[in-house]
Amino acid sequence: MTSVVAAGLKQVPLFSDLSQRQARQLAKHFKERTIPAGVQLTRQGEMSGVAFFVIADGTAAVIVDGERVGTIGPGDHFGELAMISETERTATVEALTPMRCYTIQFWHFRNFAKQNPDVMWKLLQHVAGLLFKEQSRVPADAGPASPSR
Amino acid sequence: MRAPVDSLRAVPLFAELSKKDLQRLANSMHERHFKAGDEVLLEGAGGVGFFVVLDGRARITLHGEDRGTIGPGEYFGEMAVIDGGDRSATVRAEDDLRCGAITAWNFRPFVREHPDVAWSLLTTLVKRLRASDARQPAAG
Repeated sequence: MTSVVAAGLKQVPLFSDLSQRQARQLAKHFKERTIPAGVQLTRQGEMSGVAFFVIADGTAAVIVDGERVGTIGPGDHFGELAMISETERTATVEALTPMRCYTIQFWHFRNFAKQNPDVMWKLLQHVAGLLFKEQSRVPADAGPASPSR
Repeated sequence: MRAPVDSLRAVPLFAELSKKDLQRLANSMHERHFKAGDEVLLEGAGGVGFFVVLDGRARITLHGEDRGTIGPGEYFGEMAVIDGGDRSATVRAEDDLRCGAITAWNFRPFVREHPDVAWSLLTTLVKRLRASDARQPAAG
């Protein structure tokens, strides 16, 4: 299973620069889970299950405040922000079809990141990039928009 | 002037560092003083340093919008250190401000060599990301 997960992880932007060896190391900590359609993988506002998910098969709806805001499928990943900050989920993710996912627990992920400076640095850059993009959204009343990076 | 080790010890980000590592960090940090109203960082400008507040308060503004103040033990400048991009906010001294400052090229390798510091930075950035926009349709 490890090589399958490792190959899957390489499709995740966050992990795309991992070496084959690093991806395999990380993959060892993942568990495969099958989820029937209709089951909620995360619930908005809850802290239960500090896991990061990578979808192998199937699709899921992303629901915020009861409203469906998107659909995710194979190769997509979610849960890393809640896992890293140990805070509540910002969205509910509900299986639309039967799903197969790979998941990793918080403490395994943290240990792996701490033992691999390159991985940690990629995580930092990924999150800093998201934050920069978020902060670059100029409010409507703040004058002419500056070009975003 | 070098940043005193005792001041750095009180910074939560560096809480897990050994005495030796704190000393090493202190050696590559310089103490900077600003008067009330002084500009420490300017939004959109190239930035090459990481700052930790030792005394006083600094006010953060983003696109001209007030984002509150930070005080002793808190830090700024980490975004430019991590992604090498332009400053994402303007920081001004609210009152007399004393900071420990370290260049990006010195802080980057230090973070890489100290996973506890890196993880702490990561959790702070993630918390800020989540707080900055709870409406974002990011799953998780």
